[in-house]
Amino acid sequence: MPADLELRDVSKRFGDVVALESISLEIQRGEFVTLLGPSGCGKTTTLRIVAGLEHESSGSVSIRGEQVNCIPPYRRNVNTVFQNYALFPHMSVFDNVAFGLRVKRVPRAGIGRAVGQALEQVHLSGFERRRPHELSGGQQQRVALARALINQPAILLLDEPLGALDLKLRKEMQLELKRVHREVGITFVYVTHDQEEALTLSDRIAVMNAGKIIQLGTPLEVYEHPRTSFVANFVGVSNMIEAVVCGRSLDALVVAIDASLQFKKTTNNPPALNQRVLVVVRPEKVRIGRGEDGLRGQIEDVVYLGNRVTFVVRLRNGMIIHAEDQAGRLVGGAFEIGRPVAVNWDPADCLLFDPTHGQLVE
Amino acid sequence: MSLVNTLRSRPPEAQLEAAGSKTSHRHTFLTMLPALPVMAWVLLFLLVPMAIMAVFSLWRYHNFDLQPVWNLDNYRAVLEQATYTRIMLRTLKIAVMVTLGCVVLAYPFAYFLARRVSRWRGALIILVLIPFWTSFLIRTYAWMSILARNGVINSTLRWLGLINQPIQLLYTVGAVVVAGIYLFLPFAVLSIYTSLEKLGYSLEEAAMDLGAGPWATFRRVTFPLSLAGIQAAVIFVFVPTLGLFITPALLGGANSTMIGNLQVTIFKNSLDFALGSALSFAVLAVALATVALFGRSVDLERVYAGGIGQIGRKSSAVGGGGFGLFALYAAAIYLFLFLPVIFLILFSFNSSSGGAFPPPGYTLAWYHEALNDPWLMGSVWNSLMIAVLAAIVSVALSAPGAYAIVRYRFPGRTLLRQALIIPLIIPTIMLGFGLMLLFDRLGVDLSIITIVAGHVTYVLPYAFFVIAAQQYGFDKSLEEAAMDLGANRLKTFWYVTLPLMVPGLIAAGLFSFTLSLDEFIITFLLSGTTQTLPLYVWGMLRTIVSPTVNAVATVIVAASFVFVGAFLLFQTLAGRRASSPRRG
Repeated sequence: MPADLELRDVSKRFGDVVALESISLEIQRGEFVTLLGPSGCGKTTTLRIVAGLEHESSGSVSIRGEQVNCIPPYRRNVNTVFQNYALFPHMSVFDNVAFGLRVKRVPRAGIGRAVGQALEQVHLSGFERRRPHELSGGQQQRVALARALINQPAILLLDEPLGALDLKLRKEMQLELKRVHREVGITFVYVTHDQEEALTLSDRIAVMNAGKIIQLGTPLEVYEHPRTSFVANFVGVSNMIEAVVCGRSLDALVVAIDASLQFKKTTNNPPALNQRVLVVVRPEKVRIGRGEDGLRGQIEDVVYLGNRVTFVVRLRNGMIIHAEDQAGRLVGGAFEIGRPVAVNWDPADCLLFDPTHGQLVE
Repeated sequence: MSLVNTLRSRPPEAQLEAAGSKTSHRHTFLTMLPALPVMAWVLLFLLVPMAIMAVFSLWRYHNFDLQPVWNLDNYRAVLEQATYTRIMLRTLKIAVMVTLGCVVLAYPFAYFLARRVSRWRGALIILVLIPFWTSFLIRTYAWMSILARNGVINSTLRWLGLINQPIQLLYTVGAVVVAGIYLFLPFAVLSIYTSLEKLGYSLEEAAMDLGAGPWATFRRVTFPLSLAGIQAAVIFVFVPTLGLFITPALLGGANSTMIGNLQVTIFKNSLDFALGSALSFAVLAVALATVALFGRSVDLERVYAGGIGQIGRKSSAVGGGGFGLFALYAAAIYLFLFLPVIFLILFSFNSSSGGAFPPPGYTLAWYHEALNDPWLMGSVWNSLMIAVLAAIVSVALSAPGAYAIVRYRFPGRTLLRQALIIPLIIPTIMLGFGLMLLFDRLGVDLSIITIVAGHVTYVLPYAFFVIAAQQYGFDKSLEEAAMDLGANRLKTFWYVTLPLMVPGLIAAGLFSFTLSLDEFIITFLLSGTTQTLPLYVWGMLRTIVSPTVNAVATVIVAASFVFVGAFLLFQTLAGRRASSPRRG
């Protein structure tokens, strides 16, 4: 079976500006793939190219094995849930959802049944006669979803569909989307800049930056094994600490952050002596203690987040390290603002990156 | 959104006030104080004249005297006498044809501007705006030299060997309709363009994404959603066409007299104010019915403020087809809009005194003659003086009024807004009749003063809404910041509000100045013995058409180009100043 979507070396230029640089991506049937990246990274452009709303400057786009480069949007077997929903204001909910079938000249009886089912699927039965402006944001979102799904597209494209909703509704809609995805079994390509949303929803995540896909992998891979410092920083929160290689062997090296903290880490290909490296460690992996073991500093702030506590530690050299305590053991007492502490971590829990080009030191 | 709705739906609460905290009478008075002058003006020169007309239409006219005998005979005459009904029906017929012509011609053109061009859009729209600003009288006159027996069309057809004898084009209903379309096309284009531009691309993209081809997308999405623009176009074309006077007088024959001509004859010659008033209210009824029928979704404010829509989304791959065909069509429309004026300029250098086409030679003699005509120079001086006074007075009335109406809620506020819309939705000629009756009743002699009063009443809504539009776009947090930093209300106004208002005031002033300079019909009714430039040109056209008039017309056109440029400049500055710099 051919891939549902295949992008090969797709590039897009707007005048002199390069929006996409040689993107390649293959998505299998039924997958939920998220394009994740900061604004302006090219994720929406990629989606619009797949929809046919934008023409690629070069490269090829194939849907279910058929190249669609020159096919206009209305003959492509994909549908989009737009960022602002783009519901037709002059049509009722029913007419909005029925639109795709009407233009395909599906018989009236079939349309009624299909619209009923589609609205049921998004829990909006009974709203047929309403106008879009009479609906809440979340309801509009559901109409947009039903309208796009009714055509039974090969691929559903979602362009930051939850961007306009408040946090609580977002969480609800995330679960809704997951459920609908499971039920219809259609391939979803989802665009967002919210890393948490990407981790929650996706089978695979394509992290994009500056018109390129930096890393493609499962949420676990992207979070636990970022391939560049950009990914480590964009997906989840990371402490980034500059360090120097102060010793090496064939399969390991010793990294020094300062005189008080040196650690050994095994690598296949250790960099040269005295080379600078970036040590990246997640806050939840940072251990914080009262002793002298590790980097010393003092607690500058304690951020209580209900289910966890983040300690902001200022080191003696002025750097800031975030340490997160998820068990809630450390609240109060010795870990108040201003107290001297030392931070440390298991060498296996940190990653090393080259500070110049951001690549992982494996 | 209609202007009425726009104004209504804006948050009416006093934004800079802690609402409800100070509701003393003194406070209410202070908030309405800035609006008092404009309210007084509107009452005296707009509402009272309308009331006088309403009363007169129910009185009896006998032996050159109005008698306060209440009756409906005037209305009966208007509806039953064949002379009047025939002219009314003809006027309606012409107005319908002009409206249809404008909408049909304008739609594809507006679509082209909104959907097929992006880079040159601003410039292309300014090109549409220019004739909109150029003298109405001159633009009507331009058609005389095109349609005349030895005019451009007949000469060309004869040269091509298609006809032997010149055909009768001038002095026909057809001439009035074509000129009407020419005169009002920019209104229709701007109305439709505005609605399409506001619509944006996203809904069309959604339709295509859902499987609708270009035609289905247009039919099911674009067109239904641009209906508001078409409705606006209908109002902006139909209503002023009902009040046409110059156009049928210059281009129409005996069989193309319209209501405007009939009304002028009644008011100025037979002095039957009772019948004239009844006739005016009959026209008013048609105009108001049109507005009621089509006016629910009209954005008068934007069109009248001469605003150019923002250039929308960067690009879209959808529906790029047919550019060549559209461009060709657009070029034809531009030719239609500009050729008459170009011919006029050409004729001003024509050495043939009979206006032969093509010109046998070129000369500057007509300019020389115009410059040495003391009467002409006198009328130019009068016009400039009137225009400057009208601009100053209308801005002086509007600025504080607009300031108050945007910020405060006070008694009479809604009434003021609605009253100011009246001049925009009734034929201008009605304002003239009303003021004529008012001055007659008050025993005021017609003079330059009455002309200025008439012009101020006519331009006031335009000046007011240009300034108010800018005030609505005003970033309130700037004033709040000033107060937060310790400036009292007066200092806030002086150091923050006023400097930000200045470009808007200048734009409104220029707008008023241009409208006043070109105003004909009110001047015609209120002038007494004062000559203004449009009246002088009118006189020249009514007697012998000397090519001198072409030279004068060319200068007027050139001057209006300068004013458009200046207005657009200040309009842009005003828009830029009103909002604080955006982040990101």
